[in-house]
Amino acid sequence: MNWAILAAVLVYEVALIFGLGLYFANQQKKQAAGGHGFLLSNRDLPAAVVAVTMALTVLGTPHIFGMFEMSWFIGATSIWFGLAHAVLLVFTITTTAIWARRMKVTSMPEFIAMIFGEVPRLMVGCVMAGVIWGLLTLESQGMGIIFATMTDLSIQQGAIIGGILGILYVVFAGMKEIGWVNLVNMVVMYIGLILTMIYITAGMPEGGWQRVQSFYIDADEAHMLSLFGTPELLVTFALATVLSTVFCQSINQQLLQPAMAAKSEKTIRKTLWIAVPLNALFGVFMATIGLAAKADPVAAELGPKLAAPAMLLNTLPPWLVAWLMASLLAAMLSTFAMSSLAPATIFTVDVYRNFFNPDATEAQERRVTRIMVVILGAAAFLVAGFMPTILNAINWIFAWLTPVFWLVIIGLFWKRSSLAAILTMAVTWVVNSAWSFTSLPAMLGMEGQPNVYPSLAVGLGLCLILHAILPGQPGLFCGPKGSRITRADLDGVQTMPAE
Amino acid sequence: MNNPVFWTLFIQSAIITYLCMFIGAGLSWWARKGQPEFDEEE
Repeated sequence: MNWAILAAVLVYEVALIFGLGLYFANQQKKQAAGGHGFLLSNRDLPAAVVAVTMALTVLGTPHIFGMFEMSWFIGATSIWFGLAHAVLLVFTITTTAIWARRMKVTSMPEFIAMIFGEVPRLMVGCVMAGVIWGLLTLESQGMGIIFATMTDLSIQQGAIIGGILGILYVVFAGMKEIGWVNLVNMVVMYIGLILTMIYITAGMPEGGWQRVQSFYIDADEAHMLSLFGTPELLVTFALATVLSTVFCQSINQQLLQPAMAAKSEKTIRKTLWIAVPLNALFGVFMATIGLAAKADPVAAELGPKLAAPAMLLNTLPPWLVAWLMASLLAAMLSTFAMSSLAPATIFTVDVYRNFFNPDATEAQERRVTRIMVVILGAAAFLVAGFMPTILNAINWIFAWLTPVFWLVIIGLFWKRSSLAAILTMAVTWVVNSAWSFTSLPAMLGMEGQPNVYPSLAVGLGLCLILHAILPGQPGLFCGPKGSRITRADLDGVQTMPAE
Repeated sequence: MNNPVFWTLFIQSAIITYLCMFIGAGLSWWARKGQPEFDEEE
């Protein structure tokens, strides 16, 4: 395998990360103490940086290897995986991201404490950090696959190289480093994708894309070329993906932390026009490459997992392979970086500062966060070689956060009861585990249904019923006696006292 | 770039994406109408 390509990829990533990372770390040293420089870039990020970071945080391994593989089986309908993220980002940017920034919180468990108190905060903190760490292991696995495809390294060894780069992506200057490195990487990535499409088209055997179309039409699979596939695929894949993505990710720390670091609510609203198309349309490139790979007899022999990477290696010139690999690796690194910073932030804010050192200085918080980033990142890449396949794991992981979504909505706009929140989460998580590890789905005749459906239904049902029957306080965004809430009301909000 | 497969899917996806964005922006504007501004003075 071509070690020159690998060297070029590594040189680009290392130069970018060290250049920007050390520059911002030096800037942070010069700034006055206080604030959240490392965790939230002192809430000074402009719209372009916030937008690109939100777009790249939810664009990683599943968008790349997941979509290559999905397009093999369901064709262009796989693009709905990308479109589901368009819905997610629109929903998040117009609702939860704005609310988190409005409350000036640093972590989502801190937000939960304001709505429901300390016990729900701890429950959400533990589960959310676990969920994000689970995503971190999957991202490590994806990076391991990239290196294993390019070289004769094992997935485990590749994950270690990727993991070290991922830690460096965040450890120098935190949120600011991630944001600005992401901005450069996004530009490089899209130029690489456009050049790749041009070269694939130019390098195709006689007949070009006409031959790709004929391949599917002759095999009586014309639906593979359509975004709308078949009605069955739209219900079982497109709708299910939209639901699981929106309900699970829109309250997730890793997606909301860049928004918490934005200059203002107005800044977050502007990100809609940048983040959504950048993320959603990426999937079209991946699905089209996947479709072409299946129609290429040489690449197709390698099967759904390796056909697309093999076709790219066979068709593109070495310099473009290096560019594309650097781009795809950057997409994974950005997700890895946010997925390590987010649980480290939860630990620093909700455990270290909350329980052990309420008067922690910015320097102490920065040190604890850096240590946690290294520990969590290293733990993730060390287990990456033993994980289940990426797509199988992702649905199960996502389902854990569904009750938190309902609790946030109800706690902000209707009523908040700490006990109702605790019971809703505990029961939903028991149901989620029973759905995965017992014969419950078979007993109910729902074998094969993803965890997100029972989690959503049980979470919503319990949340509504328990809040209806248990005493509680009015929603956090409900003004006193029906009046409108103001900035002054919100500035006075503290942790909800125990009932 | 003579690639009808890519362009058809790209245009269809772009239409759906921008539709989502305009619906989201419209609903967000409608929900904010008449509400106080929460951003602090800069």
